[in-house]
Amino acid sequence: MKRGLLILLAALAAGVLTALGVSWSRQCSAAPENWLRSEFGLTAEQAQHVAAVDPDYAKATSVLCERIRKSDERVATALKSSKSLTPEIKAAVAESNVLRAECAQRMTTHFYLVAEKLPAGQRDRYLAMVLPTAMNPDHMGAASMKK
Amino acid sequence: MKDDLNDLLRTWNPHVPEPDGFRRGVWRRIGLSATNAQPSGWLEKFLIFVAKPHIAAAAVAVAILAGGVTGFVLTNANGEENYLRSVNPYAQVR
Repeated sequence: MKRGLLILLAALAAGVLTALGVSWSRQCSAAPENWLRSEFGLTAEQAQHVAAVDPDYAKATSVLCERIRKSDERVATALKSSKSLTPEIKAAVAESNVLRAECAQRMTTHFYLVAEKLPAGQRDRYLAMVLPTAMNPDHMGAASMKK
Repeated sequence: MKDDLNDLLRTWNPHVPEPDGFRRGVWRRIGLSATNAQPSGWLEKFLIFVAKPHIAAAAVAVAILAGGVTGFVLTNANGEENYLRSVNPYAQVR
């Protein structure tokens, strides 16, 4: 009887370990840099060039994120504090639109810089995949449309 | 002294009469203990069943398969979405 219990526990452990292993493996392959490399067939050298093409983008994105968050708060506060269209709401929405345009421009610049480093045959496919997101950053572009 | 004791033991013959049904009683008790060793509950029966080598191998194989399928299904592995999220400030805020 003890042997049966040990076998069940071993089977359970094997199942859990397999689940964790498969999950980890899939997460690794779906990591942004790994996905880009496998999706567009980049060599290690090409992947390095792509990663180094726009070193300030992560920092710029972080700053943009903070500004977007504050802008969202201002729009929400302005909408809550009024029952009609006030100058404050107009200003908050206008600021949000400016930010959206700035974000779109920054993303588009980044995408073109990355595309330059991709193999010639892959550039158009990459841009077709990512530019919808730059034009409409509130949505996830082509990826969300596939769902 | 020791030889005397040995001699005495050799001559000793207790002739204790065996009680009626002694042997039958012994066998009955052996039979009862064998019956008690049989699995009683379903869990016990199941664990004994699992301990058979081919069932054990099948159980481990099924567990590995189930674990693999679970890990595959429950993991968000949409690389394109992850990439777009990583480069989209709006997606990072929300």
